[in-house]
Amino acid sequence: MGSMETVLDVRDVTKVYEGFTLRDVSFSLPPGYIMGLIGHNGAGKTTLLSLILGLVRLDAGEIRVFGLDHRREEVAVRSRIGFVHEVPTFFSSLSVARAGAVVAPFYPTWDEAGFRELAREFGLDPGKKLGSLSQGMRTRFALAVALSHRAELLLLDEPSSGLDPAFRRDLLERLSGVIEGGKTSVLFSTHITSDLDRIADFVTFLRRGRLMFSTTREDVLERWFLVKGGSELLSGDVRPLFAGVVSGEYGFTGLTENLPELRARVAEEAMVVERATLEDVVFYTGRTGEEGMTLHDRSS
Amino acid sequence: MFKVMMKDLIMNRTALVANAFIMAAFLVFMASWEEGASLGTFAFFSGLMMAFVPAMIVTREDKFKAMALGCSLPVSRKTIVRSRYLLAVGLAVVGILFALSLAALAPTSQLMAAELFRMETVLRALSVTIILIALLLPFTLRFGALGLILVLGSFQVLGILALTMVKFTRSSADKRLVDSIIESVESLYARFGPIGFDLLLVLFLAAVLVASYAVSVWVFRRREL
Repeated sequence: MGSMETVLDVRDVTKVYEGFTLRDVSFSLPPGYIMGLIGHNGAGKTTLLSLILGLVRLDAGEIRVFGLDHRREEVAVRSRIGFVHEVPTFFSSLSVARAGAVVAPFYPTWDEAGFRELAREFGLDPGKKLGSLSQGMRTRFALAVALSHRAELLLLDEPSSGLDPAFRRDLLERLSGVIEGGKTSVLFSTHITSDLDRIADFVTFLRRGRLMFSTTREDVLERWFLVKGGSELLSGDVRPLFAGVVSGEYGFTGLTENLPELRARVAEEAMVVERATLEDVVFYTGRTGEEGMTLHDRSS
Repeated sequence: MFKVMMKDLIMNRTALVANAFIMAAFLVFMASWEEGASLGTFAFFSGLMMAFVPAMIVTREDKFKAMALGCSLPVSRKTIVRSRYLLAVGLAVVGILFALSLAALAPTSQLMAAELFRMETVLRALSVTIILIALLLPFTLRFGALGLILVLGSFQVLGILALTMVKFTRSSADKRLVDSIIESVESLYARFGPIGFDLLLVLFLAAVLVASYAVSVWVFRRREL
């Protein structure tokens, strides 16, 4: 996918911290789609979003947003981005209305009536201080701000954590609504895989700073299978076909993307095969060591 | 740039007003202090207090993790730094005039109103503020509240070291250093006259601010949030 056809183009991005490295991450997001960024805590999701926003500096690689270099054209890029940080970044002593008024002048496309309407829909009292809001309500506020300047790319860092199930579902539906016009794209990080099942078109999976895959949700669900069988099947050349295995007293359950090869080596009646869910993929790949972990990047 | 300044003023409104009240009480006390009130001391402490206002804005931002908000908005880091310096100088000028007005208007004040508003007094206070702002802002912009502690802590350590050295070596280097600074300033004053000296001082302060600003831009662009 060329950069003109993508809203976000991340190429070979590397960021080195003491004790953690985000290494050679590449993916792209076309306009009008939702991409879920998944991974365990400390996988590098927040680092990646911070890199895109320019809050931290790249050590290597390139990030282009709307075809523009995210650092050299930082003002033009950020004027078209809406964001929700994982940690609240507004002064707690400000009221909802006042905090909205603080950021409004930065965006020429700010829709004040839209902001008031969203605040009302989200149950935000304009006079209420941000410090007195629950985490979920503060996320609602940040989302109302992000949606009120008609951002073309929403970067949301764990927007659904701390939200009650009803609002979480509402948030996900709203995000689906946002992309309907085809102009807005969403990249959101989460560790709740059921959120991705509901709305994500693309899934990017990070593990310990490495990109495991970035592909469509359908591709993930079609590629990966859960296989159950007796422990004796895991001997010899069969074990390497699994990306992750959990063994128990009565056998094993393993995740594989090599089903045809597995079928060639193991009799069909000796195993039970099921389609894996996103949660299975995250869970089983998270259990294996570093060796042989890098899965195929199918984003390009 | 003015959007950033307005954001900072709105976000720190309550803290600024609260600080103004505390400072006002202290300044009135200083101006009314029969044994200790002097124009020089008053100007020095007014300037000193005003220097910490911009540092307070940055450290509060650090406390509330609001730096990430400012840097996520469509504004460059250079503009953020420039607005901080403009706001700092603006607040310094307003704050010093506020301090001098308080000393002039307080019924218990021991200081003469006519002397308070002389250019020399205003510049003396402004010099203290600007030199401190120039020193503090690069550190606070880079390290947040820790930067403020670093600068103040370094001053404490340097002071202790200097005094210890002077005491044990029985040297009068400290006095000689202060005397030589005073002599240099007096000779400049004698050479250029009051107006020329004031102009020179303003130029010097501007140069200090520009140098500090350049350092701040460099360090703030490299700050990771």
